[in-house]
Amino acid sequence: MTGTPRPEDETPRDWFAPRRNTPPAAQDGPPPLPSRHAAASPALPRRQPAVPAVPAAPAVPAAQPLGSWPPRSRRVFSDQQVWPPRPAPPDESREASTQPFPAIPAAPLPRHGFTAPPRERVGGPAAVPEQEQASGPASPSPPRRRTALRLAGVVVAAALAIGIPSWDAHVFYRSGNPVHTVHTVEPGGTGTLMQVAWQVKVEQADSLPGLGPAKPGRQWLKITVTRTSLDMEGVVRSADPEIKVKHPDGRTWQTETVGKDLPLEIKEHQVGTPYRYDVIGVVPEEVAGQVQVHVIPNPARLSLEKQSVEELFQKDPAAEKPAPPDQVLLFRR
Amino acid sequence: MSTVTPSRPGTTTTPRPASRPPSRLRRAGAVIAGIALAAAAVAVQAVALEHEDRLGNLTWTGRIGDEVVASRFSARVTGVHGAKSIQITDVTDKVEKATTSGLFVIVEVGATAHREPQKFGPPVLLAEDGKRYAATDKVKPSLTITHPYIQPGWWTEGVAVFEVPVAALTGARIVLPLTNGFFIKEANLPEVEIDLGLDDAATQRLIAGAEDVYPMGGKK
Repeated sequence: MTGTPRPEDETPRDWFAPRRNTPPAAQDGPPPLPSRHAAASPALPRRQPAVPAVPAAPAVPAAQPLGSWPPRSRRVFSDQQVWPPRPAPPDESREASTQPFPAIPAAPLPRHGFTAPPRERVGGPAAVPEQEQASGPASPSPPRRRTALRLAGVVVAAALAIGIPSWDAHVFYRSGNPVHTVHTVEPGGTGTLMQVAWQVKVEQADSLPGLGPAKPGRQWLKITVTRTSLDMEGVVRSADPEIKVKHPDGRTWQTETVGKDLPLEIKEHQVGTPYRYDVIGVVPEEVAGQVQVHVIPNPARLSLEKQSVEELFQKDPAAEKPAPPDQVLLFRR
Repeated sequence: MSTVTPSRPGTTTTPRPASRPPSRLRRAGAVIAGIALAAAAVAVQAVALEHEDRLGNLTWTGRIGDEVVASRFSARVTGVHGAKSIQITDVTDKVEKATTSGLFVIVEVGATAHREPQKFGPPVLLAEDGKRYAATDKVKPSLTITHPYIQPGWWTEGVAVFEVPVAALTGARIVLPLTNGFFIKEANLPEVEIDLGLDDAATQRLIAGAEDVYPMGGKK
């Protein structure tokens, strides 16, 4: 911590004597380290060359702080000699520079982003701005505006942090649950989607073969869904549709396709010939007359030709991205 | 070589503490604050939600006999039986017998959906010590509550069969989750956790009253 006194330093400092060149008023708290005391007093524009700082005390020349190799902060100015240790200047200020610039009255410099604002407040904001800009890494804007900027940053960051994952999750959810576009079909009518005409007939059945009568309070529904391809584009869309039974209040019941007379080979599929799906469902008795059938055609395009393995791996631009099953036919009753 | 003039007495009366380098105390404080922040960051990572906590099921709880209303369905437990073996009759009248070294616990469950048809995933028996027992695979799922659709408008009744050591019975609860997608899983699905009300006495009664053969399946 303390170096040996330099040879030319004839009278080593009496460490227990008060400082001679520093008014005691400048000290607050414990006696500061030798290199610090000058910083307590604002430096003034300097016009004089280096003269002994305190001419009245020649016996203890300005080299008084020389007597030690003062512990200083590890902050090193780029233009400062660091080795061999330079004798500290007689009245060293922390802001002292070897550059021949006039000293600017010591202004609080923000050393770190986080400690800067309190300092500025302590030092009094009046003297701050121009000195800040004059030297070094000054804060970009006055403190108050920066507070608002930070607050705005917090708000924006929080909004993004919540919003982006939510939006991403929503897009993902919508990839599996598309928004349905409902095409209403009047009772007994025909609904046409993707070159296929659809018809629905709903019967209430007391008993179904193999399943017996419905349990009390429930009602069997026999649903016949008929599809007719209008052209070859309708034929390639002959994948099985999704059929649901829905009450206008939103309650939905499961249906089961128990039979269909579509040809197994898509080549044998005729344009203009009706093919039917036999579907059964069970609903509560009291809503059996109100429920409506929803048919969601499968938008997948089947291949007319039997595909070889090579063809399966070839990219078909039409099959690249199948349309979502978001078109719904609602058959009123 | 400094060009700083000696300080004038008049100016030193108003020292600017801001122009001083940070004191040792302050520097130590900054170091401690930095360590504390780093430690806090690590600690926050440690308390971050696990994958299971973030995406797992949302649980509604209740007791045996209660109707537990979850977001998409309601469920209730109407009875608990014990059995030492289960006799399964399939539709062709072929009889199989499932045996266990522990005990079969047959939980009678009813459920109804609120808006859309639901299906249960494999039920879980949650022991008091936190161990989870999946429903036994000695009984075909088609004979249990996981098979039928749970639909709005009526209660669907079924059973869940577990094969557990006798020691796991006291304080056990049944967990009824919904099925989830195979590839694309939905997060935070509802599930119902129902306390079977098996205190020490009830457990003893369940074990003592366990049937030797519990019949399942067959033509109805």
